[in-house]
Amino acid sequence: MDNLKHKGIFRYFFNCLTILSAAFFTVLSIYCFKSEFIVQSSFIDFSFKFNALSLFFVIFISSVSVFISIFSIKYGEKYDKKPSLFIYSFLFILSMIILVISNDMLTFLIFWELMSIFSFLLVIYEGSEESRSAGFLYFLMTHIGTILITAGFIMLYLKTSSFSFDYYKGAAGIMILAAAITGFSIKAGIMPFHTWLPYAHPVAPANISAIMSGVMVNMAIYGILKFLFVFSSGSNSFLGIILLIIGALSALLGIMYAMAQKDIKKLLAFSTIENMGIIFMGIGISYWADIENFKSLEYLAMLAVLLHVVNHGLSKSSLFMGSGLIDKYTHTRNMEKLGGLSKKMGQLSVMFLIGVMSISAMPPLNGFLSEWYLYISLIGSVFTGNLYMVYFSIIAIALLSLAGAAAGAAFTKLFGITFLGKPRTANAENAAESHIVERIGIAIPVLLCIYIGVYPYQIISSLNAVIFYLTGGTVSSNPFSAVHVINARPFSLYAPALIAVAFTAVLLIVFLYLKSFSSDKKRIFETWACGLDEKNSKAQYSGGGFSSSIMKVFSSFYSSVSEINFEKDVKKYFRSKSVYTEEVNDIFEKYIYIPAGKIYLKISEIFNKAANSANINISLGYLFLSLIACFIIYIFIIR
Amino acid sequence: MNFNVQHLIFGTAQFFIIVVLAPFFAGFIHKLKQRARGQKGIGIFQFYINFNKLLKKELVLSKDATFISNIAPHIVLVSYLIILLMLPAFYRYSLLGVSSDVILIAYSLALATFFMTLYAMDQGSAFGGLGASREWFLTVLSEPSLIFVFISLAIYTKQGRITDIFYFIQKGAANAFLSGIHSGAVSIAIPFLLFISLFIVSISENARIPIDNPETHLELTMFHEANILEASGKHLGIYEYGSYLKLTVFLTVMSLILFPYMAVNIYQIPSALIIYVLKMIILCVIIAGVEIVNPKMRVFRVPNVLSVSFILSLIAMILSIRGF
Repeated sequence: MDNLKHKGIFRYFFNCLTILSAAFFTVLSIYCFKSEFIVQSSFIDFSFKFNALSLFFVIFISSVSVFISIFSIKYGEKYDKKPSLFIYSFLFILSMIILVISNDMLTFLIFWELMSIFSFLLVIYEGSEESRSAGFLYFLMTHIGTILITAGFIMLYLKTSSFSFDYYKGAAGIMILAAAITGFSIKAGIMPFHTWLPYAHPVAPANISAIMSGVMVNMAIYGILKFLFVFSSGSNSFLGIILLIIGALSALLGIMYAMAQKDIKKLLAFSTIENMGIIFMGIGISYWADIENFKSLEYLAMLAVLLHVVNHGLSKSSLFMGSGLIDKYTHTRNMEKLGGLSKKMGQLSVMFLIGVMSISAMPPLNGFLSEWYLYISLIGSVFTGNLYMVYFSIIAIALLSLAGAAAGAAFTKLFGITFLGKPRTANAENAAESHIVERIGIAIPVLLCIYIGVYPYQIISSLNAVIFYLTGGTVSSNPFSAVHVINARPFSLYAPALIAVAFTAVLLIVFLYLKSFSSDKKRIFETWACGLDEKNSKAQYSGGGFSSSIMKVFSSFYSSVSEINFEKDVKKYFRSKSVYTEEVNDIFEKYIYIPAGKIYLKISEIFNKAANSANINISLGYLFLSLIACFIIYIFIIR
Repeated sequence: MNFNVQHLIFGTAQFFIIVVLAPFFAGFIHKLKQRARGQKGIGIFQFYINFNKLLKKELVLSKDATFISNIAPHIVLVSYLIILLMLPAFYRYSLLGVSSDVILIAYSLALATFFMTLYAMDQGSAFGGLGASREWFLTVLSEPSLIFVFISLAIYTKQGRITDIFYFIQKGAANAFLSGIHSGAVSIAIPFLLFISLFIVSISENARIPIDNPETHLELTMFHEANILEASGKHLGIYEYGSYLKLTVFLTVMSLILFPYMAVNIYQIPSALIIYVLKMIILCVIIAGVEIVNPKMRVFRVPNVLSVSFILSLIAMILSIRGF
């Protein structure tokens, strides 16, 4: 057994198994498209159905997990001593794939729960104190979410008296939607419920973080799309506006917190919150337009949602894999200790740069494409002239544009501090280029980012099937036909292929011009440092310094504590040593979650004192009382 | 997309004319400022000479520099050039007019900022990091107003492409002028508010005096200059030219808001060109005037000014919604 572990058999076997099963499910779902089958077991029947939405998600999950498995074939080396990682991650991916093809509520909930359990086991995999507390928080939050989702499903069952999704079409009222969407929002890490995400995503091994951030959060999006566009009875359009505004707030606050982070993976985790917010904005507009009957707006916003799911999945998984490589070869994730990695890890830095550009929506990459569709949908919802929608979409435009600029700042910080400049510590100094297999795992999603960004028409025409399934219409995938927002008149056009060609052509002209008209003389010299020749690489700008001025302006978003400790000596200006500490706290965590936890503990203490008395009569009394309470709930509320 | 040879020729001509004129506008502002301060000042065409000289000079690269230092100047320049390819300065059919979406323009500006700040952090100089930090500080604050200005224009005209937007305003203004104010839906308040809002944004984005002072190399006052402190030779030349182009982009959009007059056929081109240059010179005088009367302000007072710009563009957006 130890010998097997030593050779990494588990790693090869389970990663190859993941790739094979991903391929199997992709082929299966394409082959069995629009058919359904039931797997009977002794106690429960699992029923599955392949429709356009599940096909899209199966292909998405499979392809991202294939890249990540290729990456972990080499990256997983250091986890060979404890190979449970590979087994769990295989089962984790498998449960997600089966989740999206399940067609009844029990199958859905069972695989949803399996997904949560396996991801929980992966979060606590490292076994450190940090990962255990993050795992506990994740376990707690995700189960609150599961309770709410289950409640939504139970209400659906009571209404339709069926387990099958086929009978749920148009059955979900506002209560069911509210319960289920709140539950799914917890999984997606939307703003008031996000606290677990920045703890749980970074502590897992990097390949798992990539799956969790790139794929797992999108399962919540799958659930919401299913509830809002398939199960919804379509009565209350205000829900769409709520989703829009919550999404916009998540987008802004997520990226604002991302900017304050030192830990690379934590920054990326907060950026996931931002991107989930952007996806929620699109869902909100699309749902609102669905009910208010603005058809072309609905299709556009849905396209923005689906494209952003793909784009975020690709770029975020590549960035998380990149952060894993940084961690592996420098043994730190703290960007204040890194720097100058671009010279040591040249190819990784190019791929990381493209991932960073894609996620901070720089044209002509894919991140901008989906954000552009979202902006156009927001402008379209202003055109609808509905009082509430106009009001809230203007707010959303403001928040989104602020978030877009802040994303640029946050990712400039991430790339600039980590990869550029001089190495700040010996860790960064001794970095080495990663293994070719690891780089291939990152290169595929990065190349796909460029491909989708420059030539999206292929994927848009494929996504049209999903858009048709959800909304009953399609978006034009013709490169030169302008977008319509609410009426038949063309509104605007972003032709990525044209822009990319123009960009390359102009770049070539500039290059040739400079080649022929400028001097080729070149000298390598030191960076100018005011004439000082002190070689102190810590004298560079730090990550904290980079974001401090923006954080100062938006200080109301943070609850940050910073202090400088001096040694108590006499000299005021020539101190030998001073320690600067800064911690940025989440306002939600500080003002909602921690007080709520304290109150909960207090109440349970009271109950504990009362219930744990040795008297058996009192215990029986409690049992009787709770039975009566259950009856009352059943009779008066559920019936 | 219908292909028209005339559009191609004049679109290309328009692009090259603006690119060639860009250092002139910057030089003109510089000259005005110097004369107003009582200095003799440089020649108006000095910036052309500077650019030429910088191209001939030796390139000094830091030994800590990576590939970013080599590609960033080019990408910054090309992003501005791409925006100029979209702008209908005096001819309605610009070369990339078919894809000249306003959001794309705003994000292309962000792309240039992104690469310029990466360049700044590339050499491991503390000044570079400082400049990058301050540049993003300004961009985060001015990006919402910039996007609001553009989106208000889009909502006001119900068009998303910048060529269509200004053609719509031009037609509306011409109708109102020729056949009385009642004939067309034309607003004076919206362009006025947007003009002031965009003026504030362009002062901050182009490193002009109340916000930044590009003429000093003192680390306390540097925004833009700190980013390119390590640049030399042709890289510095590209960055300088890029800053003239950025100024021209903003001035051109302002000139179009101020008085949209774009040629739609070959006969109108001479008059449109003359009017364009006149408008630009007037705007240069205004910018120079603002720069002369104001002292540089404290960094943390900049948000107040930029929030004024944001509020103005918000008001303009609310006014433009009233049309439905």
